[in-house]
Amino acid sequence: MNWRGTGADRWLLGLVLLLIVAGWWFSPQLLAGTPKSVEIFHGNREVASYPWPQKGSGVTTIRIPGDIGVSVIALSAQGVRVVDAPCRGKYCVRSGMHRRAGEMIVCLPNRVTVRITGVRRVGGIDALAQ
Amino acid sequence: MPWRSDGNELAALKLRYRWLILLLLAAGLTVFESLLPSFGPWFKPGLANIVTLIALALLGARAAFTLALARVVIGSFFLGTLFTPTMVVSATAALVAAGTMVVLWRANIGLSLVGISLAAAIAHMVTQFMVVEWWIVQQPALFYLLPPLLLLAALTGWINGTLAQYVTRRLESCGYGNYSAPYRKSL
Repeated sequence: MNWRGTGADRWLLGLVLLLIVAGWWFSPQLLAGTPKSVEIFHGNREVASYPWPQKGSGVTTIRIPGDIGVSVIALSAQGVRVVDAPCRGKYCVRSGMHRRAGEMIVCLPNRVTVRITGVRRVGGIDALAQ
Repeated sequence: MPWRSDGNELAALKLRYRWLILLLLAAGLTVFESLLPSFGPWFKPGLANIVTLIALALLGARAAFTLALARVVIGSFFLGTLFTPTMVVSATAALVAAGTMVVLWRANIGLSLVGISLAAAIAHMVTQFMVVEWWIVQQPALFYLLPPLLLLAALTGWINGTLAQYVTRRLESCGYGNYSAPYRKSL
């Protein structure tokens, strides 16, 4: 059995693999919406809201008091992340930078939620469950 | 029947019964494949496409088209998905895949059945996603799944193409290509 195919077959395979890798690389940019603002909640009460920073603007540090302490949130044009949290697990800190519309950072013990709003072209991972 | 007899009734009959044998094989593979453990959502190795390729190489374009459609209908009858969205999705994808095969086969750009199978597998997967997204799920997030599944499709497309090439060569060397050769051009 000839598993190698003809020269044209291998060219086609190369082209296809290239396109797949390119599609994989660019799909987040192609599919994600542009962020518009950041909303911060304590429980179900909105405590702060910021427009999405322009490119080149500095880092805004926001301190949000929650149930067990203060969550420190850093907002810049690169994205939003939780810098410090009073909880033990620190999952919100470890989840890193978030920059796509529809994304959310949740600190469950502190009941602080950060939500990126914007033109949501795409639902989150739960799209199939919606 | 999808091909002309050109006055040679016996040759035409042979083609028809070969087409029927291939159809039964393809429908059987469709059912067999659905019993295999799934590699992931909407992912199957596409074994029936091997038979479509063989039909294309030995019997021609129309035979491949009709075979692709007929095996989806017969296969979904046995799988209990007749006239359901599942069947519409697989029928659309199978037809687009068969169309891709025919176009590349006729284009004659040096691709063997291996390359044609690869392109068809990719076309099949992309069509499936587009139909499901536009018609059923309506969530572009679905397309995040496309690149990894396309990689798998490329792999199985290559394997299926190699198998189809092998079987076609064997059949031709047993004389099964002889009757169809003059017909292949006229189809």
